[in-house]
Parts: sequence; C-alpha cells; structure tokens
Amino acid sequence: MNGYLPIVMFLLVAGTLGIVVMFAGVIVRPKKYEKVKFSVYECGMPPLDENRKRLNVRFYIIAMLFVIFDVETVFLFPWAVSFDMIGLFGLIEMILFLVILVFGYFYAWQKGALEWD
Amino acid sequence: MTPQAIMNLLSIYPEVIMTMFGLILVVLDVMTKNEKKSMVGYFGIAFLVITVLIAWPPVGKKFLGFGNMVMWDSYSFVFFFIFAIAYSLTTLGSVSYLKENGILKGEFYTIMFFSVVGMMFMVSAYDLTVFYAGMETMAISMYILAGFNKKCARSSEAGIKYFIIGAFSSGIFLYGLTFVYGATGSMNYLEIAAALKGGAASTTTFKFGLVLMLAGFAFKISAVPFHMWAPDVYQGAPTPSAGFMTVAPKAAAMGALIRFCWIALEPVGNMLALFFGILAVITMTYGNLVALAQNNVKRMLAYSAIAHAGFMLMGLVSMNPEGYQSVALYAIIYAFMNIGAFTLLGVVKNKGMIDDERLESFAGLSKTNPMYALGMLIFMFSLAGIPPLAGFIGKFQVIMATMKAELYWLAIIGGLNSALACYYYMRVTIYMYFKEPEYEVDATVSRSAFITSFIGAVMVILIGFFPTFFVNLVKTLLV
Repeated sequence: MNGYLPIVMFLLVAGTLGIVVMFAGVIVRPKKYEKVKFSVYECGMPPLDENRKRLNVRFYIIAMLFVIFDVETVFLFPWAVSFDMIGLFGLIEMILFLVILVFGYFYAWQKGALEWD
Repeated sequence: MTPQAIMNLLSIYPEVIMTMFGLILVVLDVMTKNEKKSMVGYFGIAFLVITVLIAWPPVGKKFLGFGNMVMWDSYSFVFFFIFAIAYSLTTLGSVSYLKENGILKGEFYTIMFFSVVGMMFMVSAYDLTVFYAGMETMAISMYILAGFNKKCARSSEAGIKYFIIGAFSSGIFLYGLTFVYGATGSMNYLEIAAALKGGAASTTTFKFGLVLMLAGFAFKISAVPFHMWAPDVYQGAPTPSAGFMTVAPKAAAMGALIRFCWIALEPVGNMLALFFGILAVITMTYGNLVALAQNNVKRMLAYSAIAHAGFMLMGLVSMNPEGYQSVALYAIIYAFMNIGAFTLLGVVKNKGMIDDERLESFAGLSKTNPMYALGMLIFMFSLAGIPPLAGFIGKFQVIMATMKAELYWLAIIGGLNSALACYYYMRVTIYMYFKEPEYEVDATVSRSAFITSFIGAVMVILIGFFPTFFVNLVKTLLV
C-alpha cells in the first residue's frame, strides 16, 4: 500500500486548497446585495415562468429509446474500425446484436412509443 | 470452429436459446389481442419445456467456456429446472388473477421469462462479472413484477421499495467485490480460490470485502438482518408474482452462493460455516416468530418465506455435497408448495369490508368450498413440514446434512423452528375447518389456477410418499 501515499497527499492538498480558497473568498470579497442578484438565473434572460413544470412522460420514453440506439452506435464505431481484424466472426456477432435491437425496436414501435399523439 | 469456440457455445447454449425464445415472446406480445395475452405465457411455458428438453442434463459433463467464465453442467441444469417449474406454475396460476385485476399484459410473462435467463446466468457463473450481470437482469425484472399492478398503491410501493433496497444491496455487493478483487487479483472463481490458497485469505482487505459481498447475497435471499424489504414487497406485489419472487430469485441466489462458496471460497470454508450458521439461526427464528403474530395470510407467507430462506441457508452451513443437494431438493419442493399456496391465496375474494387475504376470510371455507380448503390444507401442511408431505422431506434432508457435518446445535435449532412454524400454518387450516364463516367469501378456482394447484398438490404428495426416487434423482444430478 506504500505506493498510494502520494495520492493521499495529493487528495489532502487538493481538498485543503479548495476549502481555504472558498473561505478566503468569503472573507475578502466585497459584499453588495441587489435584488437582481437573487432572481432565478436563466441564461441571462429575465425568467419567463416557473421552472418546476411537469414534463410529459413521453419525453422520458423518447430519451430512453435515444439512449438505447445511441449505445448501439457506440458499439458500431469500434466494430467498424477494427472490422478487417475480426472478419466474418465479428460480422455475425454484430448482426446478432443488431437483430436483438431490432426486436426491441419492433416492440417499441408496435406499442406506440414512437407516436407523439 | 475451433474446439475452444465450440466449448464457448456449449457453455451458454441454453441461455442463448432462452434469449431467442424471449425475443419471440416480445414479438408475440405485440401480435396478440388484449384479451388473449395469456397466450404469451402459455408460449413461454412451451418454450421452457423445449429448452429443458434441449438442455437435458449433461450428467458428469462440464462445459466451461469464455475463459472460465460460464459453466454449464448438471448443477446449472437442476437450478434451471427449478426456475422452469416456478415460471410454469406461476404463469398458469396468474392468468385469472391478472384478468380480474385488469393487469393481464404480455409483459408480465416476457419479463418473467427474461428474469429466468438472468437467474440461469447467476447459477452458471464462474466469474463475478457474469454473476453480477445475471443478478441485475433478474433483479430489474423482479422490481417490475413487484410493481406490476401500478394502479394499486401498495404494489407501486412494493416496486419502489424493492428497487431502492435492491440498488442499495447491489452497491454494497459491488463495493465488497472491489475489495475481493483487490486482495485476490481476479474475479474468476478458480483464480480467487488459487489466490486464497496462496495466502490472500488472511488479509484484512479480503475479509472486509467478503463480509460486504455476503451482506449483498443476504439481501437477495432476505436473510435477517437484511430482510426488512421482504414482507412489504411480498405483501404489496400482485399475488402470483409474489409467489414467483419468493421461490425463483431465492433459489437462484442460493444456487449462485453455493457455487461461489464451494469453488471460490473453498480454502476458507471453515471460516464461513459459523457465519452462515448464525445467519441461518437468526433468519429462521426471526421469520417464524414474527409470522406467528400475523393476521394477514399473505404477510404471514412472506415471513414464512424468510424462515424458509433460513432453512435453506442451513444446508449451506454443512459445506458437504449432501448440504447443497438438500438445498436444491428443498428449492424444488418449495417451488411446488409455495407457488401452489400463493395461487390459491390469489383466488380468495372477500365480499365484506376486510382485505381479501385476512385470516378471517378463510373462516369456514371447508363448508363453502371443500376442494379449495383441501388444497390449501395440503400446502399448509407441507410448508409446516408435516411428515407424509414433501415439505418434511426437504427439512429432513437439510437437517440430515447438518447432522453429517456434526453441527448438532444447528440441527436442534432447525428442528425446534419447524415445530414453531407449525402453529401459524395450522392456524389457517383451523380457521378453514373449525370456524364458522364470518364474511361472504368467493373462492372459485379458475381452470388454470386449478391446474397449478393440482400439479403442486400432486407433486407435494408424490415427493412426500416416494422421497427416495427424488432424493436419488437430485443426488445423481449433483454429484
């Protein structure tokens, strides 16, 4: 476990530095309170309405489907790059993987997850 | 195809077939009409039967593939068979219950089917990563099954509670796993065992990690002090899925735990015996004592499930082949009797103002519905371990294994506990046979539920009267 001492030292120094700088800021910085400072920040614009709105559950389904098919492309990229090394075996494996995803896609489609209304 | 590639395929072919069938079930689900969703479940049973036949026990053969990560042998087969029994019985028993509650959806059967795949991977894992992946497949399916009746507040609560506790226990398990990996340098069971023989067993890192890992296991099999989720989840979940959840995931976790202890922790086996012994004693004593005080039969069966988990743990303590053979036999018997009991429980409809599952609903059922009362009587007697029925054979085998390991104190506590358990099972039968009806109760058993409870009762009686055949069957499969 001796090799880990520098890491512990590093963590300690980083942590202490963070705390010291934060408190130094509290002590040193000028304190000016204005009304605008306490308003809700929305990309520099004056806020339009409440930010705790209810979101439609459909957004979650779309986001979930997006993640699934996004992960598919994440797997496809390294496979495409190393395709000449893995050959036919890799091709069959990737086809199997895609077929499984197509089943899921078919299910989501038939259940109406892709329709907005 | 190199020999290695063939070996790889052989080591996971039942899981591959199951996954393909599961995908077909997903398609079948969207193709069937709303009223006929039970077809998905029946197809699931057919697929399971086909897979069981294809994967017929490879007695004496061991297919170890993917760099010693997955093992398919007769041990995996026995546990797969238990899951298949649990799936088939639950599916048959669930149709009318789901229809009455308006939740007859194809997903119920599909998700249960995929959970079986996860459990198969858990039991056949030879590597902690494979084990963990299988456990999560199983657990996520179980969260959905627990919260399946989403209009019912209790069911949703059960789902959420199970999910949070499950995620928490997975976290503890993984945290322990990192320590074990740090101490032994491997996730593979065989390499862990080799590292332990090489002296890693005495390091604090390993011990700390092992305790956390075993706590994670204990969460999954609802062993006391990690049981607090179990009663609420089993009570809140729809009755058929509660029946499935008390049997299959528990059997899977026990199967995986046995394999892990038997292979990876073999060099430190003596250290573990006391740990599991104490865990088993508290689990069954607590489960039985609290079950005594329950007025709700479903909650009582939930606590009894905890007590049965303790009994199964006893088989693990003995650390001999008889021990794990008895656990497998116990799990098979438990599948028949508990799913049968839960199926019959789901049938009761109280027209009065109290919950359907209250003990008072059962009063006088022997007069209004004698067949129902007889079925419930058989399951209750078997769960209690009354001699001519299967439950007794299971308990007997476990206690015998404990005696063989010369753990007499444990055997005595086990015997006392099964005597204690008699009281609350008998209470149901007393209400059915010796009390006058208090409420108007409808306990008409639908045809599919009748098949489930009939198969369950017949098997319970058969195993009870001809134990030698079944004991030898399990013994030849689990050498």
